[in-house]
Amino acid sequence: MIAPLGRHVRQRMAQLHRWTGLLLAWLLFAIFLTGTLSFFRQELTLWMQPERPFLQETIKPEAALEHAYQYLQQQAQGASNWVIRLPGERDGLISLDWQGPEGRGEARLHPVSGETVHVRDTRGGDFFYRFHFQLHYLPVQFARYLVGIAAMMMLLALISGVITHKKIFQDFFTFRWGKGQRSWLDAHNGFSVLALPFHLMITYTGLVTLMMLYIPWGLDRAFPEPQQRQQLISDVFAVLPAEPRVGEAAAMVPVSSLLARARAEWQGADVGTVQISNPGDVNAKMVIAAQAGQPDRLGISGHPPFMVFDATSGELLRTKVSRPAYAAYGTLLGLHLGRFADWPGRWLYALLGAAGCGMLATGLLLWTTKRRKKPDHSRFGLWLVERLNLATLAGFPVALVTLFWLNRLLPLDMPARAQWEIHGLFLVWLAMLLHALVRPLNAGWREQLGLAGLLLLCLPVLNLVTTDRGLPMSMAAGDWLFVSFDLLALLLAGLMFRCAKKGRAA
Amino acid sequence: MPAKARFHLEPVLRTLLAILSAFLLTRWSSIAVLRLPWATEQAVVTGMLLGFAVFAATVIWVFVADSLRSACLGLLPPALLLAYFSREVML
Repeated sequence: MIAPLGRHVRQRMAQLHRWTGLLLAWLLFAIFLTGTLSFFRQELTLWMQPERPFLQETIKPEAALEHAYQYLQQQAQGASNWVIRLPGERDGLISLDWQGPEGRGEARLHPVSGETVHVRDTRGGDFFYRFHFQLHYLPVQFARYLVGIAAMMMLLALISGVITHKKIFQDFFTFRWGKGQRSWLDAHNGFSVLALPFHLMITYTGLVTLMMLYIPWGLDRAFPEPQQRQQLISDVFAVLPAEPRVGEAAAMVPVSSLLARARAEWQGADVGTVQISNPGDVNAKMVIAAQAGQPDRLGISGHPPFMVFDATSGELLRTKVSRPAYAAYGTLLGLHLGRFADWPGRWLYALLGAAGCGMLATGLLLWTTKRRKKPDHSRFGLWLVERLNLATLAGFPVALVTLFWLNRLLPLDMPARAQWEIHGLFLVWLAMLLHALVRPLNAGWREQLGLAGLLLLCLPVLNLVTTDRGLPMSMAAGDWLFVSFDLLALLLAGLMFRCAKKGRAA
Repeated sequence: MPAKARFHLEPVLRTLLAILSAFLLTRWSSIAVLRLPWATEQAVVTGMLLGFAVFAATVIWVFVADSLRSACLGLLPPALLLAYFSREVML
């Protein structure tokens, strides 16, 4: 800073911190919470589709690809494209998508037997992922702008918070229990400072993920034509070329040879997706991209390497372009997505994300405890913030847990089942908001946190009753994903009950 | 202007100035990077990657400056430079 940090500067920074921190903090809490869950996107999908078999054998990509080819040749002839996602460490099934004459189709295959696996209709972990940058029910573009504004306010709140804070490190080692406002302040500082580099990184890189939407002016000036902008995108992302079908049938080269070529190019890294446009046509193209999450071979970039082939001649047409600015972009994107992380790394990501939720929650509670001591301020503002705090900090977790309940309880043959799981979540959130508006504040906190705790506590029981993958079975089978889901539910239930007991402090 | 009104008006003006100047500086900087002697797509991506830092730094500056006047004075040189190089404003 140019000027010495006088008292006035600090006051203005505190003011900036208060307002940028408050205005969209509820939205940010929902974004942070669902974003944190998104680090376990695949794992949550696995839990939400218990029909997926628990696989332990090592999967050969060539064999898996053979199954995929056989299925697609029978079921998706004449499709304009095929997308094959090969099983990786986190997702055991072959996942197929195609754009056929009768619309979009999809299927899941067992990677060893090649049989179709029927899974329940649910958005799974993808819901949390989508919600955390484009919300739900809102026009996508509008929602993404809203999330962007919230993220920029978060970035400003972080920077102004650091400047406001005089003794950032002394205070970090200070905690005053049971002292009302001081305790909330200490907790807020703890959550913020402890994970400050993470908060700054995740907020900035989050903005970077949608930078072409938020900062389009340079792009528009340099590349006025949409095709030119598309070119830039396909420099770094594995985009299937949209080319017309010629209509002349031609045999495609065996994919296994292209697979071997790609693996040799990528230091032996596994292939993740194979996309084919105009399969079986003279104009067939194939895009082979690496599986995310092999940092020892591929680094941490959010743009996994890919190769585009002519599928009839096997000629290599182009690969991912590596240039300095693209590398910086890929690194920032990779840091946000965290797909490079192995399981301890993912848990670390999740813990830091949880610290972010804690920072937002304690910041909001601090705002109300401070305001209550200043009787000359607007009563309505205080009432509104108090109620929104309750409906978001306690109500949104209740709604999220409901999603898992509905996932187990809704009939499997229900029409639009996946949508109703999500409608259920928002109906429950709405109910929590109404509850927060009419109940006395302390009772409201106790009841909503208690409800969240109860729902979490019973979730392992529900899972035991409705599937054959309850805690005893998953423990015996060594199915750590299901075991850790149940244990985490119990742990979080304990946390909710503890908060409910201490609820008066809110 | 009475002191009390000024006390309330000042943060509002700062906020408006912060939003407007941060928007313009980000916009201009994302275009001005095209003048760098780099491949076009590299400059474009760099401009986008740095844009959020430009935005945040501008807002923080507007709130750090001692007065609205000094905030404006501080914004002037980068604004003129970036506007010129982005060729969005004829100078």
